Amino acid sequence: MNAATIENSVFDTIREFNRQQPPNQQIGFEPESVLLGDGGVLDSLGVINLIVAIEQNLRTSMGAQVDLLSEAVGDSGAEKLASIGALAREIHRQLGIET
Amino acid sequence: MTALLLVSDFNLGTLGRYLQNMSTERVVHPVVAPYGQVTQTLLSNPTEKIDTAVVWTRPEAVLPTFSDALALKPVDHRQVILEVEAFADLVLQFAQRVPAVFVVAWTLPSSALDYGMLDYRPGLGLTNLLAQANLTLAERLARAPSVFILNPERWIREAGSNAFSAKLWAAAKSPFGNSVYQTAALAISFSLDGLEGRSRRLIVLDCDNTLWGGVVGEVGWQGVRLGGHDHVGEAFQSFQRGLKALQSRGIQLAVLSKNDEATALDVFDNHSEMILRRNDLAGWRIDWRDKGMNLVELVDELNIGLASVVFIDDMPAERGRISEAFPSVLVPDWPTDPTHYAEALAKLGCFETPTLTTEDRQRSRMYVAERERSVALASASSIADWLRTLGLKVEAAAIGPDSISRATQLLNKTNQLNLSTRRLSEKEFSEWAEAKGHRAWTFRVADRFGDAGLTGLVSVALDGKAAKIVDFVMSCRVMGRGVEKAMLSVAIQHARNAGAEEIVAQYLRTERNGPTLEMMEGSGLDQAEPGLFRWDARKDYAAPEFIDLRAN
Repeated sequence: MNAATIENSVFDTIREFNRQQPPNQQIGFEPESVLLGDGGVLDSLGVINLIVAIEQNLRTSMGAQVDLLSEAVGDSGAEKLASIGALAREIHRQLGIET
Repeated sequence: MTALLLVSDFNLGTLGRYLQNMSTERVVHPVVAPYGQVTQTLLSNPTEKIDTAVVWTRPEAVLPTFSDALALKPVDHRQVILEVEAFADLVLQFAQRVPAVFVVAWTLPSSALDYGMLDYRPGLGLTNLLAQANLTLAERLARAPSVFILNPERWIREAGSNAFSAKLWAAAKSPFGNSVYQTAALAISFSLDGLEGRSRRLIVLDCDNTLWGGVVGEVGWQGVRLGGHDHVGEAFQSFQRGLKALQSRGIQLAVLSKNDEATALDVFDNHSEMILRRNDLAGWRIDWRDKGMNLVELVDELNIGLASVVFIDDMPAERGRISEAFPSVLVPDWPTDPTHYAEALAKLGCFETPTLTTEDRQRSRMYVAERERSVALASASSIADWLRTLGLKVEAAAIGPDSISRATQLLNKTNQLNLSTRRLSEKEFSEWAEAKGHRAWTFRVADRFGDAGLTGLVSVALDGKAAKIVDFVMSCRVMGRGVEKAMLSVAIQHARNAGAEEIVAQYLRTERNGPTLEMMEGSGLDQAEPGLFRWDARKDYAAPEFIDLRAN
């Protein structure tokens, strides 16, 4: 498991997740693509669906256990998971992966 | 736009999103009822116009005793069955207020504890109880032709380890993972297609490396990989078994192959391991021409629209050619490994129909008969002579419980020979036919080559001395044989018997029913103004003398 395989898993999940989103509300794949907070396009069900799907895919595809949902609903959730780049950093932090 | 009401004790918001954003032609407007208010929703009238409702519940939420069973408390299973019947009756009442209802069969939660090796034991096990509950539900709901039970097992199986999510349940009251809802949305969409008579009816197949392994032009029929002690050969045979099974439920099979025709047909005729034979094919085009051109010719010959076609080919270039040229044809991505073919076929799910009639099951034989008829026509001296030699029999019967399903299917699926293109559910059509002054007949057509089955439908509305042909629907399979005149004669005779002085038929143009206008113009009825046909009902209207017409 490394940063690249984690990124692949996250992008696969986003690709699948976008099928439930209208074309103008899909999540981008760039590090600066907004997830939570200002400029975000997801409502609360969308956030939960995406975060849980990312966790689930990481667990089933590479046995990696992370808890992103607790971060998302925590006080600093909007900051820690503000963008795709921030999400990746949080996953790396929880898994102890150096980038 | 299809307005779909989603009724559940849990959060079906995600299903609504998938339905709304599917990349299919169908536009779905999901209306998610407040979750947890299943009984209230089923007892009340929908607040907006609903086309179909989906009722997806957890058994422990709607069957109080099942909830105790899930806690492994001793319960009387008969009490659970009584609760299932009460729930089913609620759905049946609700079904009278919406055109159609899909009820998703119950499943156990992923966290359910059970009795292990005792779990199938009657009177004890949860698995046993759930199976009984679902069977009772199915039997009770079968009373309403507009209620269908959808089986979620495949949705859950395909999602694998991502099927359930305890976290989604805890955070959003949604027990399943996204992929279950995604597959469910597709299955619901296909079921809606089925209700509207828009399901796929023809699978067009390539031969080399699709139906068998290898290139027959190079290795001969004896050399292709099929069956035998060979896992690849076994895989092609499994795929053919799947196709044959679909054919048994009325899906037609045809072949489009770039090959020498005689060489390819040799495999169908001579290879002992072939499951599919030449007579299983509704048609074929086997030559070296472009497959797009051949597909157009083939569907024209079979009187099937491109939107009813699934195209299966191992070659990505051929798939690309067809999907680009004909967006309405379903061209599934196809696995490269033949051992996955049968599974890919089973996953297609696009062949939904609300009924399965004898005509559906015999359709393949009907196409073979049509080929034999064409051969006879080619050797006849004139069309009139040919018609006389056919030995045509037409049997008219008032619509009843035994024919209403097929009649509704014909009404909703027929485009070309359809006077007014009314689309009605079975319930709506049945109610219309029973109303005062209304009468509807079905027509069965047979000749010496075979029985074409129930292929015609006429309905008449009487109002004093005026009569109107409301529906005039005929399958293209019996076109050009004078059957339409036999059908008109039954309607006109009915109007005469009821004392009507005039009978009219108003042609309503659609994009595809041009042949109906031609047929009516050749019927002998007067065209008083464009599209309005009249007959003086005081005069007789005779069926062609070469048709043996029997009216029950």
